[in-house]
Amino acid sequence: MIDFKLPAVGENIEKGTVIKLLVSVGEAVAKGQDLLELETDKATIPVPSPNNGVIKEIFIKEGDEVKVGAVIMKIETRQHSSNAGEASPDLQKKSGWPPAAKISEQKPKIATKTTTRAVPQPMSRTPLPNEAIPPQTNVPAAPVVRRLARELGIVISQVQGSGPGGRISDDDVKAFAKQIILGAGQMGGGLAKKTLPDFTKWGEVERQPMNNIRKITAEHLSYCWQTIPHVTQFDNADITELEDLRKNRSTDHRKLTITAFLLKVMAWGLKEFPQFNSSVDMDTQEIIYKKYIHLGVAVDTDRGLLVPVIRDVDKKSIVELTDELGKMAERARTRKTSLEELHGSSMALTNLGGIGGTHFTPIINWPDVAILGVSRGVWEPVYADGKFIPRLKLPLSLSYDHRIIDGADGARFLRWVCRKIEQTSWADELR
Amino acid sequence: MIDIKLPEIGENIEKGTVIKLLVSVGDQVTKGQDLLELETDKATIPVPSAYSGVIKEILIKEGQDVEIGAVIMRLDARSLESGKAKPATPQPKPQAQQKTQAVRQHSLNVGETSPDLQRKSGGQPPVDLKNIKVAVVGAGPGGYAAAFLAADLGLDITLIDRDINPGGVCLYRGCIPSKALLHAAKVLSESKDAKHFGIEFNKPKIDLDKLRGWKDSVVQQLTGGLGILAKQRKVKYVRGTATFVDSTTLLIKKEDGSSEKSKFDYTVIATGSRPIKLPFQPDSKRLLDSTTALELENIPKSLLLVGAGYIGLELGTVYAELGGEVSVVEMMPGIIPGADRDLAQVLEKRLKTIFKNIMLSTKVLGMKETKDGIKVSFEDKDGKKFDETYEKVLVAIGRKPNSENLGLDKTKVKIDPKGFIEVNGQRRTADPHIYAIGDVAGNPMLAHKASHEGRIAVEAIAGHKVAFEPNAIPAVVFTDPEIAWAGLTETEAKDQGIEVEVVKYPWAASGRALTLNRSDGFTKLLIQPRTERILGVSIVGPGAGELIAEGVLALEMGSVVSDLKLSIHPHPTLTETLMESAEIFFGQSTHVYKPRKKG
Repeated sequence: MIDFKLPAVGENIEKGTVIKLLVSVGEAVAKGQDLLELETDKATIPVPSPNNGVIKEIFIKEGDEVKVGAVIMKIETRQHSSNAGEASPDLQKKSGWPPAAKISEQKPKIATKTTTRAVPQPMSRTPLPNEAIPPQTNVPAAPVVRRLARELGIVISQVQGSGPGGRISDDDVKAFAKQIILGAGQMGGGLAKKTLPDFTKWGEVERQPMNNIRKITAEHLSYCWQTIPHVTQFDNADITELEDLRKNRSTDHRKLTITAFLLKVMAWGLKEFPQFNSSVDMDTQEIIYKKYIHLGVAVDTDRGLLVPVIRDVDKKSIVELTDELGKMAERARTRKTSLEELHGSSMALTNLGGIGGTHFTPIINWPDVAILGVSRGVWEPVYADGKFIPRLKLPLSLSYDHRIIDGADGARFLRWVCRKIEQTSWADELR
Repeated sequence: MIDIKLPEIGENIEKGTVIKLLVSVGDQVTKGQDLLELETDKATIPVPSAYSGVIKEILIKEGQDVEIGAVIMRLDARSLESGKAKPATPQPKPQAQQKTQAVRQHSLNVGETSPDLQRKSGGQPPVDLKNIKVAVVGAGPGGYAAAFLAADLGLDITLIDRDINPGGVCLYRGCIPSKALLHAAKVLSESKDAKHFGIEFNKPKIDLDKLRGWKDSVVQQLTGGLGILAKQRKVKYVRGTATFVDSTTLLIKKEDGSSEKSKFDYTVIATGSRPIKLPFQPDSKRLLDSTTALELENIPKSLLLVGAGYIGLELGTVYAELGGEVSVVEMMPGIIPGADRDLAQVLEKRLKTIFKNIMLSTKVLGMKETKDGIKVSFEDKDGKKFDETYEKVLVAIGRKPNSENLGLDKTKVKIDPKGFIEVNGQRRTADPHIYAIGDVAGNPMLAHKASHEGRIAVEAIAGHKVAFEPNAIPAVVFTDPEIAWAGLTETEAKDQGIEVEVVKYPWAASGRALTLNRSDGFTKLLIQPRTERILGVSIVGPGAGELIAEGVLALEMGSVVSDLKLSIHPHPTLTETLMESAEIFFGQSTHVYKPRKKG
């Protein structure tokens, strides 16, 4: 075990600020590998490891000011060398990695010699053939570096230079190539993790752990967002008559909601447009069409977002749907929603009308291929028969998976939904 | 346990040599951490780990050749993943397979297209370049540079040109002979100038035959040298002309009258350009173009230059210094279109002292041969018409590409409306067997651009991953003073709305310029304010053509203005003007007091 002291990094430099830690506890490091980046008066200097070994402890954090000579890390050198070294390596080994786990969980990051700088995400995920790369003129990179990029199939203008004036070095190109290697074949991979700044520099902050729903939501929605090419189509449905009917037919005992009516229209729509009731299997290059119509409904709970599913919507009446929606929301709020209830949807609906706002861009709940967003109805003047008449318009936002739904079909579906809302004889439906 | 395979690391790279192992068995590695350094044909690339875990086994050693896809290490991911709910081991493996499959597929898509492409794959497996037959049509500076490199790379190369030796317009009828004559002009001009510092010569006696002979000997020596170089490289030099029969067949009409058809895998068209004539110009010996003007038949008492571009002004300078009375007519409002006006103005000021008349914004309406010379009718910008008679008229209004009469209709080559052959970044035409370089492939029509293109085209044919993508193509006008620029000009910056900071260093502040008795020049830098990158360099003054090379290097290296400032320049030289113009940017020029305005 060696105590690694901050070496003298330059003449007359006595201290510096740790701007980036490049390793975490438990990580194997090679001699010469950069451990951190130190900002001094004049320059930012990478501080390399003096030995091969494993980082056992880190005594500094990003933002710390460190003096030359201060112990900043403990590094366990490899077995053969450590035998010759410190007195009780075994004891240390047995103590295991407990301090390690905590830190490495917080800062999982790529630590390598060539990634000492933030590497931008390569736009092209695979190396390109030479002729596919258009001539790259006026790029701040030496001719040999431009040639290196071509050798590696990289569009050099996508590489962000780390040098003065954005000058691109061969290391920048190699680091970029590495991102492509890491990202090849992986969806959304290849993004270099960025480290959060130390917010306490600007004021008081509080760290709170995410609850389970939040964690799952964060992961799930990131996945949906990264795998599905989203397009959102906006439209408005005239609900003047529907709203009258809804109010008239609601009783103290049973309050009809616009959501129930919309679920019904969606169910009809899915029959008319089966590609909206499907999932994409990119591995087999197949589209899976569902013969059932189950609709997810986003429910806002105090713990976060849940999307329970109502089965066989096409077979249920508006009244039945209203009742089921009520029970479902109640279960969600009282944390009684079963896991079974949260899966198997055809499409989802998210109604923010209770809060307000106009259109928005909902994220599709993978493996669905579409989601309908509903906002609050607004009175609008509509020009008809030579005058303006007030009509209640419901803003609808349809996000769809552009891999299998073309723009025209997206627009067609939503228009169809609007027309269906406007033209259905709802009184008959409620009979 | 996960098998780590050597991932695909670059297009067409199939294997590499392990030059350094960066981990050993038992090491804990994180995803993205470098495992080894791999040396491929062209570059040394660090290979990162796709997984986090502990290295259990290393199946390669330093110095070993490894193919893409080979298992290089085994890694245990469990020790890191143990805390998590997800089963760590079974999952990654199929993923890894999928990944390599996807990558393989990609490389197949690229590699499989044609045997040609495979042959080009990065030099490995070794390809027999000897079997690739390449013809270069036209042996100007583009064509012979291409042919020579082709020979150096080991391609089977034939160079076709009508002259006895390589050289083309540049060596026989352009750059080189004109520079020889301009040197003579400079000697005359400087000997006149010497009276300012107490040295006076008698009126020089000019032996035109001897001057012409010397110029021709320079051309002979250079082109003869090229002939020898071609032989040494075993370039098959064929004297004659070539036309396409189809994409891979040339009909070569040889100098001796015979002709033959030959097959080539690739042909590089390097046929150059020729002077444009005025539609109404009479067919007369009094009418000169850049070629006949260099023959220096006599020094006409009066000479009209039609066109104030660089070719006209260079030749005009020669004739003026040799004693002719030279006038210039130019349609545009300034001389040297393309150069920034401030540069052109310095030249114009000096040209006024050696030329009789510089007529700008003036059109030539017609020409007629009379017994005394050529009667030229003009119309100036106010619409005033007038006539003037000159002993000779030199027409230098531009050049057009030699893309006709090549049989290109038998190929898939496409030609743009101006007659230029359309090419891609590799200088390949729409026909995959045919490349085009130099003047015939587009502006600017400059020898150094042609040679660079020629080399790019040949490298592309040999399978190298290259493209014609210069940051700067320098332009030089070899008048007195010379004008040279590279990269962005101020005019272009203005037209394209590019924000630049312009700094100018007047040569009046240069010790070297004063010792040359020439303080009329300046050095100008265009700098991108945000990055302080140098975007353009322009120079006017004696020797500007030599000085610009440093600017070109700065531009190609993506230099920032501090790089120029911090490089020690020899004293006393004109190169210091580049360093000091960089200093001006910071308000710190030693020899110019010009504090920086902005904080």
